[in-house]
Amino acid sequence: MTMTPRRCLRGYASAILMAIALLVRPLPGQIRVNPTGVNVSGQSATTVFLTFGGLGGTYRAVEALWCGELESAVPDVGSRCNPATVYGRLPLQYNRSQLATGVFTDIMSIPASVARQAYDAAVRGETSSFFYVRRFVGSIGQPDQYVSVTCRLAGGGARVPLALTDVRLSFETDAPVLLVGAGESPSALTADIRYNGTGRLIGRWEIVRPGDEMPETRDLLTEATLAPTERGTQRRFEELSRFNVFLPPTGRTTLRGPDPSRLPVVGEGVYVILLRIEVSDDKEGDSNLAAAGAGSSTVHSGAVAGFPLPTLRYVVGTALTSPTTGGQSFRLLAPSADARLTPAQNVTFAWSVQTNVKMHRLEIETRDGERVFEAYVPGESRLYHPPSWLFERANGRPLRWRVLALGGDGRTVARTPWRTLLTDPSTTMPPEPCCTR
Amino acid sequence: MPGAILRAVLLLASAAQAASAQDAAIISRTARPDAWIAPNDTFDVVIQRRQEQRSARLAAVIGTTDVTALFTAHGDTLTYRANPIGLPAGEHKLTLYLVDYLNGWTELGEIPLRVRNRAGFETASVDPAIVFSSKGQMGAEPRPTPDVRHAPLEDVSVTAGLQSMHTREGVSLRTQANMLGGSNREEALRFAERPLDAPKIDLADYLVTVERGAGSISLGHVAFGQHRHLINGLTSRGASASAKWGPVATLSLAALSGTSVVGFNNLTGISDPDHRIAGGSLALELLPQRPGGLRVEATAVDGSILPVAGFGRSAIADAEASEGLGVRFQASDAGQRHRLEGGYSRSRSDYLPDSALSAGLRLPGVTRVARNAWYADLTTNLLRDVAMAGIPLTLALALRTERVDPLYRTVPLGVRSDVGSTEMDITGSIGAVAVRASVARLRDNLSRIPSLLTTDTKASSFGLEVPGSSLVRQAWFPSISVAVQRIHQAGRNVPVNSGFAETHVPDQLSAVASVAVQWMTNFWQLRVQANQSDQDNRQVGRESADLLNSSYVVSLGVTPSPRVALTMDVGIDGARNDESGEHLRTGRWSATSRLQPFDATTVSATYSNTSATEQVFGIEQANNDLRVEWQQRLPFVRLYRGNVPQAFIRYARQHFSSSGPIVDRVRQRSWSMNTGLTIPLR
Repeated sequence: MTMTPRRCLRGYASAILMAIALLVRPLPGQIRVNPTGVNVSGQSATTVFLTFGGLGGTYRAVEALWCGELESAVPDVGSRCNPATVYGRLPLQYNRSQLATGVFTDIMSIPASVARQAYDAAVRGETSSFFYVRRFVGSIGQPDQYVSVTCRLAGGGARVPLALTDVRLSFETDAPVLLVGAGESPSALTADIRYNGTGRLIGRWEIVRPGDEMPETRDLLTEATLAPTERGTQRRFEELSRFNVFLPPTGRTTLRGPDPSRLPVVGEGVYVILLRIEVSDDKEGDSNLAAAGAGSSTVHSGAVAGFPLPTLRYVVGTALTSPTTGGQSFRLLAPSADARLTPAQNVTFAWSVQTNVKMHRLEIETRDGERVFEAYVPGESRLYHPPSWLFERANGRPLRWRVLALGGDGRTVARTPWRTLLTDPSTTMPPEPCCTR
Repeated sequence: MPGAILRAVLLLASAAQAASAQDAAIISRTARPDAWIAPNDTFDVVIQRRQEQRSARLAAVIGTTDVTALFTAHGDTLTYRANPIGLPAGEHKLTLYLVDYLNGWTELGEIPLRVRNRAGFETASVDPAIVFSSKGQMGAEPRPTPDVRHAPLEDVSVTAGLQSMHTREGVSLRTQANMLGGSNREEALRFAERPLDAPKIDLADYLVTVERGAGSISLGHVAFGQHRHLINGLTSRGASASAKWGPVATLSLAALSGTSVVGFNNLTGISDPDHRIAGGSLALELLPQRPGGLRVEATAVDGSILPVAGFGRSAIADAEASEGLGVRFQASDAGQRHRLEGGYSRSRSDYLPDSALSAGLRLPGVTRVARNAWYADLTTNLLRDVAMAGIPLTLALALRTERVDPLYRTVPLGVRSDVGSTEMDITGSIGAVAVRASVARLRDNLSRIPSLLTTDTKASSFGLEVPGSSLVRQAWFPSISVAVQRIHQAGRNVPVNSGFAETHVPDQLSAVASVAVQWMTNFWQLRVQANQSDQDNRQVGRESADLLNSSYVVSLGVTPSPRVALTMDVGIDGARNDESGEHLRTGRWSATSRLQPFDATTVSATYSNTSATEQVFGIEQANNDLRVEWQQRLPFVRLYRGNVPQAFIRYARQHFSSSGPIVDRVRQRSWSMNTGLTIPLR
């Protein structure tokens, strides 16, 4: 790949400017940033927590640009974007910056289209790194200051700040709003999360009951997205459960929601489930306040996100079933969630006791809703041994199962949430005991 | 004919054809085999079987449904009597099995069963439901700013649903719609999207489906796609149609909104051409006598989306467009011992101008490029139907390989591009004990661009599940699961002309281990879970930047009766940073109780306490939360069709305090008392 003299000159100029930016000691009153350089994903979006210090109460932040090259900002201070290489401006909807006590906290959310332009430049043989430049305007006639962060194109795994870039909450049924009969258990819920980096995802599932105040946008931000002084001041809601899981550097995870039996279903109305993410320790996302001239300690920002997290709703009461009592205690016992069933196992489906039940209906289907098998089981029974050819019908596909309790009129009294099963392909099963008890 | 007993007996020769065990079995039914019966007719099925088969239990299956429980067995006769559940309407085969411990399920034979529906082949049902709720705040401290307290019964909300089904001359029409509304705009469905003018009453979802024979058309909340790299189970508002030609071919077409939508605007979901995805697929079963034996499916997709995430999702989104073609195939041998699945797709994509990103600037933009993605999965059962010392053994091997080109994008899916991977997965079982192990290799920068970082990832995992109670048939013996994972990710080199230094290149080894032990009985369950992860940084200059995290949780649930449920959780988390010396400890315990002293009364209470401390940097956080709620159905107030209103009163109290090196001490105390009344109408 050949480089034209002009490109060579640009490359040298960029290198010199970078060297100047790194080596020259900041002048008093000069605005600084930390971190000054980060690895970012070359194929998808990236979010990074940045701290700017030295604003001195006389500067305010204005636009932020991404570009492939810097040029001197003289007579202003610092280096600004070369207008011919601008990749884009931080969209307003992702601008989560905050100014508090002279410290400017910025959340740099790089859309994939910006990384793509940098990737194209790398394919052309140009420098693959690009820059994020914040402009600060003085309020008392000082020159503007430009402060840049270097973004190095990487794979999005280790050494990239841990950040959430895409979060989707859904029930297993995939309905936008789930309808649940009073007393019935909702289906299981999950958060499908795409992220950069690696580390711990720590947080809690909360719920807003009918009549409770709804969360504000600020309450839905991850804790790491907030300025240090704002952390811990978000409103808390009723906690359903906590989680603390490790995210490997592979970019995608499915976080299981709280146990569906813990979701309140007695009172009718609209319930809102919240995913609350707490800050975690992540070396790549750390802001050194001393280096930025904004304090003396280090701010962690593991699990930062450039957007408020989505919420998930379910409505109790609109469903056409009319349950009686005790629905919340009706639950599945065995096999456990995600159990892997092999043909050799004597599989037994088991569920808890439920009163006023004439009949149970065990339903087994694929995750996309194709019914594989169902069985009616007498109301006094709570076990079922499936036929051997269940595995043939499953054909190795993941399954889910649940049990419906039917009343004397044949209507559903209560139902358990779905539970997933993994199966190995098979044609036969060894002998097993008889079917119902 | 309610209560009628049909006495005509017809022997079925087909009963003597299936398996060896049925050689001496003869099945008969007390009705002509071609006769239609009503769901509440009574009839007998008589099975004449050999003496040695008499100890086995009889089972009856219709299609995929075990209906044995709808029959009464006495000797060799199964008697069906009318019950509210009823037999499924239509023409079926009733298959009879012998079930015993030694031979499992043995098919005896089948007889035809033709059941009329309750309305004489035609159905018409309309089920509306509506719930009015009124709620308000009796008191709170501190008061919201501005004071927006709602007096009791001042804040009104409504949820409404409608389901209908109509069938006539083989054509069925099914509809379903759900709406939410309320006087408080903050509770509106689209408040997050339109905080100033979100409609107070809005459409959550709807679906209208017309079916005739093997064809169907749907409008509303539909799903489409089964290609891993092109479009896979996309669920959104739109229209879809499918038609089957016998067991051989299935054609599916769909047009959907680019993201999930709710509301009355954009009712069809496809009115905005800049935010619409259209696709079609044709699936062929090349061995129709053995579904899944050899299946080929071609898929085409064309779409563009605006930079919005959609309902229930948040993301850093771009405006983009793509068009792609894909092929997927599945093959398996007759015994399902070996299975192969693969797919190939080619997608042409680019990013579209976005005024929010360009903000009047002239951007270089990107060129539209076509890129490929493919995958192949091979699964083979090495051991099956094998037993050692009477213990069944299984062993299956899966090999997977996948490559997604750099810059490969398709609008309906967030495929991770510029990655090539291979994976080997082994699963097996010894009796009820299941074991799983896998190794995987991933690599990026597939185009080998010298100024980009190339990263290699090596991952391995091992899992073991021991369902103790199944093994020893004793409830006190726990189920145990163990999982271990190890991931090493490292940059291959320092890329040239990139801004990278040696210290910027990752080299990290992560190890995760978790153990869960669970006891479960009818009345209580106990789960003890431990999880630990170690992030070992090995890159130059960061050798000591290691993190060790641990999490321990104990959960106890007690359900002495359906009217009483108690749960308790205790958890301890630890996070240690070797470089800084930080060691954060978080402890939490919570208790929840739900009591139902009377049919119409439910009292629930939840208390949780969380505290976090870090001694080196002086971080302290504490939070405790108490909520008590009384739900009371009001059975003395009977509404239309027996509906019963419901009232609640809820007290909530919360304390929170926080202090640390950056922030001054923060203390918050709050309480609130809410009430509400719900009036359902169905």
